[in-house]
Amino acid sequence: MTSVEENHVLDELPAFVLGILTDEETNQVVEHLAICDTCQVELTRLQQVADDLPLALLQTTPPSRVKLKLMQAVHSPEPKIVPTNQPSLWQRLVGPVRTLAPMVGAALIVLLAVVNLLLWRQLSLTNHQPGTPMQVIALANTQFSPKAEGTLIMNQTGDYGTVVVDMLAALDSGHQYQVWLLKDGQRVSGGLFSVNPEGYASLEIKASNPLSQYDSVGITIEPFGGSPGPTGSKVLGGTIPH
Amino acid sequence: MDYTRLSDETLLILIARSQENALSELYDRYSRLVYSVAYNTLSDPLRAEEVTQDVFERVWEKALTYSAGQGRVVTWLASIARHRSIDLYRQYRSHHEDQLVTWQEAEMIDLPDGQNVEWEVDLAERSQRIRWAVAQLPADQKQALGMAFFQGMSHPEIASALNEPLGTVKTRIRLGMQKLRILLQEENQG
Repeated sequence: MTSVEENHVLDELPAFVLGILTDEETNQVVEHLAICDTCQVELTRLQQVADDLPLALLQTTPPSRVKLKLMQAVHSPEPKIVPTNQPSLWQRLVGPVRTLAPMVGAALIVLLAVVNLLLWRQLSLTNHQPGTPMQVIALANTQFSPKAEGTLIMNQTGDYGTVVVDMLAALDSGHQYQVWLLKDGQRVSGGLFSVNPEGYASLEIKASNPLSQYDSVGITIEPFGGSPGPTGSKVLGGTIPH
Repeated sequence: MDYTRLSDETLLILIARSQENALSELYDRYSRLVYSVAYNTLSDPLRAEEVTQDVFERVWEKALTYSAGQGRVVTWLASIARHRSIDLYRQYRSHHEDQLVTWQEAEMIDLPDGQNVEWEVDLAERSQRIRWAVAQLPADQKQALGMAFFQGMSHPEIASALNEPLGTVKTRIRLGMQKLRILLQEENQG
């Protein structure tokens, strides 16, 4: 029996399911769980407790205006496109694209987006596609994020843009993802973000210059609140077309 | 169609097909839970409203991403609400004092009568069990659990906020969760 097998992590499991262990502690627990049925059983039971904890709160009814605003927000004369399989990253981009181009009708955006994606995938292009209202740049993942997907969407003139990511690992409370823009060897921050439980996030990039003036974009893991320069592992990156 | 009789999973299928009535029903079922999670994290009613609307808008947009492997729909919703709220809490933390989580008193609640449907009975029973179990915990364990779970605070952050030794906080959280697990297991077997 190895030392990992001998050292049960029963005492650490409560904090593990609450998501408050450090990275190092989390790794130790995960390593042990992979080979220990005893701790797996305890983990399942504790996870059920954590799942039910919200039900123990004193529940308050939100003001009626919340539902009113919600139903107004979702109400649209345009039918929603329903994919037959799991939605792709592109379908998740529809929302951010709307915010980038408020003057363009939602239906037109969806139509152009689908056409754009088909062209993008078919031709494996990563550069500006003439004739489309947006520039779509695929970001490549790295060994630190082998499943992650990322896209930078810029307006036609390359003045501004939004980065959209999916299937990135959720980070502990002490870290965030930071977007970097590279120009002439100098990196500047484009903003910070965290992903939701599904690994999805979008961020409108803040930059002092038009995005098209930068050479490339990258995303790294940094301490919460950001770093003056990249210090952590790079998870996504791509070249910005000029 | 009587949407109140449909399961949560069925409502999500209808929501994915743009049926606003299905979203309305899901909102009626779980908006109190989502709002309460947000409010207990943020201590700010307006931000809790924002989170509540945001959670259900995300459900509208991403209903198809739900899979049974993620647990019950109510667990999925609570998880989205908790993570969104904790993100905002960290963003605006310096603007307000940490606040105690308000647990529901463990009074006996009326279970739904025979006319109610399965989802309603299941939710009421689970709520009653967990409220009873939480009520058995000492106040200091409830407090530490609430700060960890709803506010996403780490052991050192909780220790600092409570001005307690780190080891004490770790013990409270561990004992609290283990006691809840034992109580709920006994309740299920009893």
